[in-house]
Amino acid sequence: MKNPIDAIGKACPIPFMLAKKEIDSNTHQFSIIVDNKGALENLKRLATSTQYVLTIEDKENLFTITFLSSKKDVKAEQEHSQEDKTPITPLALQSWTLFIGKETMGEGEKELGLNLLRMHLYTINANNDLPKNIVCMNSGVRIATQDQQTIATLQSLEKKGVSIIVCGTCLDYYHLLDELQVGYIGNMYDITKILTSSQKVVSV
Amino acid sequence: MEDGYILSFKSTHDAFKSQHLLSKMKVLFIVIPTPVEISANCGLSLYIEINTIITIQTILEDIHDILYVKAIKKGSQIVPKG
Repeated sequence: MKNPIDAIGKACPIPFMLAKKEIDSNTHQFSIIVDNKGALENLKRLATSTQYVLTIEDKENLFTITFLSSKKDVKAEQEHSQEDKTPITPLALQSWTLFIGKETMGEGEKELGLNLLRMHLYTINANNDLPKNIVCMNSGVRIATQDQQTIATLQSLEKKGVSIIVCGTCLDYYHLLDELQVGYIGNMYDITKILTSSQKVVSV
Repeated sequence: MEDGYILSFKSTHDAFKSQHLLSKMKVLFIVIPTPVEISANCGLSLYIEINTIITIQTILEDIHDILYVKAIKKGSQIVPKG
């Protein structure tokens, strides 16, 4: 196996790009070292979306992540694809995405905007027509980190199979990386793919 | 299923004033759109999981014309009782 790829101190999405390059060249096994949880979460997501199995070694906040291709291992592949099927997706789940680009619904007074957003999420959660994804970006990441009502609603939606993707760069910018209460950290690659592949994107 | 009360207000400003007063007293509430069964001018209501409303009425004594409606939380939905 080659020497581990050194991605220490590299900002999002560089570690992701370095790992993706190896995957695209069909490297059977490789390791990458990162020093932050955002990068670690991104790489975990990358492994889940590809046929690689991860092992993670944590030494004083330096994470050595080893990717091992499971392509030739039919059994492991089957198990992997079964893992991908969870959580269970309700029948009503349609291919639409809710994009939350700020911590309020609409422009204007913040107090009103936050309450409108709380009610909007409550209404979506009470309906059958659930989105497939909810993307939180810019100050929209606050609804997954700071507001108790929106966090609880997002957790309920997540249990019903809705993917909650929270922008890692934005969490980092607002110093909220350690306060994420729901969803998973996504980078611009994940988010762009979701937005461009959804049948409908609703932006609030 | 959990029992509680929906509080509906004369205006949005009264709803926000009530939120501040309740938060100050550490009362937990959920902001919901006013259910269509409840007639009120303001589309924003609060739901509080509580058996008796007396304490809440005391906290909000300066806010006039609040409508208190018994409600129940069924799964993700909060609906007026009866």
